[in-house]
Amino acid sequence: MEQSQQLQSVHSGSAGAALFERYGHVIFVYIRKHTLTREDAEDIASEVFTAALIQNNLHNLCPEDQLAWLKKVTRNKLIDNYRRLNRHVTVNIDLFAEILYDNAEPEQILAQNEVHNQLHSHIQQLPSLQQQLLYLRYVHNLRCSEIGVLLNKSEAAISQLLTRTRTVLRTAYRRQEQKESREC
Amino acid sequence: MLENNDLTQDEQLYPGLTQQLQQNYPINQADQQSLQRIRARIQQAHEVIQQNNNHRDVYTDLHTGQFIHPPTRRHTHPWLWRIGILAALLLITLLSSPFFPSKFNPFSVIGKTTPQNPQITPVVVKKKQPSLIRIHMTNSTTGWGEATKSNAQKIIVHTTDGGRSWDEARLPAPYTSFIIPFFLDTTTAWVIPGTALDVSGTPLLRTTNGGKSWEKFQIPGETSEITFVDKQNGWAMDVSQKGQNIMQPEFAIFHTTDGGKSWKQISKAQAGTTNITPGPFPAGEVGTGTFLNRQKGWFYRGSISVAGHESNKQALYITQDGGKSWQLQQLPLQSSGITLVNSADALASLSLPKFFDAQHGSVLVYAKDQAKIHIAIYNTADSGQTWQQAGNTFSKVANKNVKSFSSVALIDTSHFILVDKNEVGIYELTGGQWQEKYKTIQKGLNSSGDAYFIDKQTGWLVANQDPIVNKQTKDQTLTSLLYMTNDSGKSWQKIQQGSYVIPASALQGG
Repeated sequence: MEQSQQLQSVHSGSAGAALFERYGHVIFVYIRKHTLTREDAEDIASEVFTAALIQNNLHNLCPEDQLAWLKKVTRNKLIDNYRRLNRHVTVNIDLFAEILYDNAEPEQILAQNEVHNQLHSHIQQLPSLQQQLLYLRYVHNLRCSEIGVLLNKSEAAISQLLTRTRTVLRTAYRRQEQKESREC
Repeated sequence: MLENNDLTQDEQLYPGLTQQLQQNYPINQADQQSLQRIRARIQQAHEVIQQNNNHRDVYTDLHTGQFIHPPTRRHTHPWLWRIGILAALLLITLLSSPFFPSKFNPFSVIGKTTPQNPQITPVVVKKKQPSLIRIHMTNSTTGWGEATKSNAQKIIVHTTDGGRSWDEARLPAPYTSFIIPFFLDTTTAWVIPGTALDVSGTPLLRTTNGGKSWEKFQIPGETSEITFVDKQNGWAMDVSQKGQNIMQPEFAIFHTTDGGKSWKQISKAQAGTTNITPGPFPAGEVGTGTFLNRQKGWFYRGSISVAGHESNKQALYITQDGGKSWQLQQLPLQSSGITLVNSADALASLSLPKFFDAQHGSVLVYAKDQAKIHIAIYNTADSGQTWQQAGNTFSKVANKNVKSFSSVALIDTSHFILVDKNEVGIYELTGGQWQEKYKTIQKGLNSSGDAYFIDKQTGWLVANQDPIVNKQTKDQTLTSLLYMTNDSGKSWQKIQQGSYVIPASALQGG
């Protein structure tokens, strides 16, 4: 029995560490958006993933349900944090959508060169949901099913939206190139 | 990195665009450093858990659904987290919170026990007591509390001797220590276990015997907001459903008429509504609510300035049909001179109404800037239909740190308590002016947590001592103190203290 518990602990521990490597960044950025200080965000993120260490059955869930659990615990931890701060100060913390692309730190979205400037400009013109989708996909490398968990959409809907978004970007590129070639 | 079988057809056909998109987002160095620190703390937590596991004692609690909390303290000032929480509990210890419902409750049976105002006799503080975070007394002898048991393990506790001793109300496994409670009366409480391994709905636990046993129900969807007016009638607010469009979240409000066993959606949120006239539940933000009776209730929305972002204005919404429709209720804030918009230089907060009988209640507006605390109180004599500012706006020089809050709590429509570090003040409305009535200094306190009065005379105050560091082991002992008054705050006596130790090993992460 004791050995079984220890094995389970080791298993859940490694699963917790893997969860952090997989989802730590996206969860942290989300928390950071909704805390007064970076230190608070680190505290809460540590609590969330340490809670995951102790959830013995978490590693039995599929990745999407693991992420859903992390999202739920994160939301609850944030609400608890606000209650500690002030029971009546609240924040919109259900919208993952606002968090990521709109990062407060200016270096986050600095374009590297002209190509990136153009790309960045095109992305900025997309609806925020599509911007969010690109961020989750290409910064956090999340699967469509995982993005669906965060954005409360089905995997198929995310996949379709991703294809549409990329098509829009390619079209914008082509128009830009045609325009530039005409000008030359 | 995404694997081939994760790629969409478009991504496989146009890898160049994928590469450009990936390069479009430079790495945020500050975030990377934060992640390194978090990673170190999680690793440290894992080691502590394994050590405890080897000694078996940690699983004593796991078996009962509790867990040993992570070593979340920061390396530089590990005790600040704790102090921050409790000092900040501060802020507005609004007794009108849904978690600490109004003493007046027309449907409550047990909760209407007449206070007995017991004599406060010299107290021999009992050992092995939990470290209290906040309390909710239902009369002078019986009450509930949230507490920290060990290494920041959060628990629900219950007292039957006026707060001198507290027993843990153990929750059924496999729930962990993050909990959201609502206490109704001496025996009845609901708890949402915040880390339950359940993503399809919100588990809800109910006790009707003071925490001796618990029933499990489920609220459809996700929420952390519950409030009840009696043993049967309650509301779950800001319930979000799976599969929603995140850009237009369809929050809803649910109602139960059987104590939480079943829930029915009664109002669906609508984005963009102004609610100048009664309409759908206002959408967009998580908030809290409270009900005066089965028909009339309030819901609070607002936001705090976070990470330098501008925040929304805070507001109260009222329902008079049991939550089906909601209307914006404007307070005459101009008279107070307080603006309910937070900024980097000031914080402001609006409380939910707290009622002292069926007609009379108060709303407290708190603000703190770099120089002073400002408090304005609005009273109603018509069950919350209209509100008028009571007296002047009270201002007091306080800690210059804007983020350092003080604890404020309403006692009745003409008294409030303000606790600023170790200074405990009772303020009274006299001749249209708020004036200090009593002031006491409680030595050794570094922060105040929660103040709670059940009537004008009888109240409790949760506060905290400076952490004590063991020079040899470097372990830290954190101690909360519970004070009681039965002379309206003229004098306070310590009746309980609880401590827990954060092992040095848990303090070194990061």
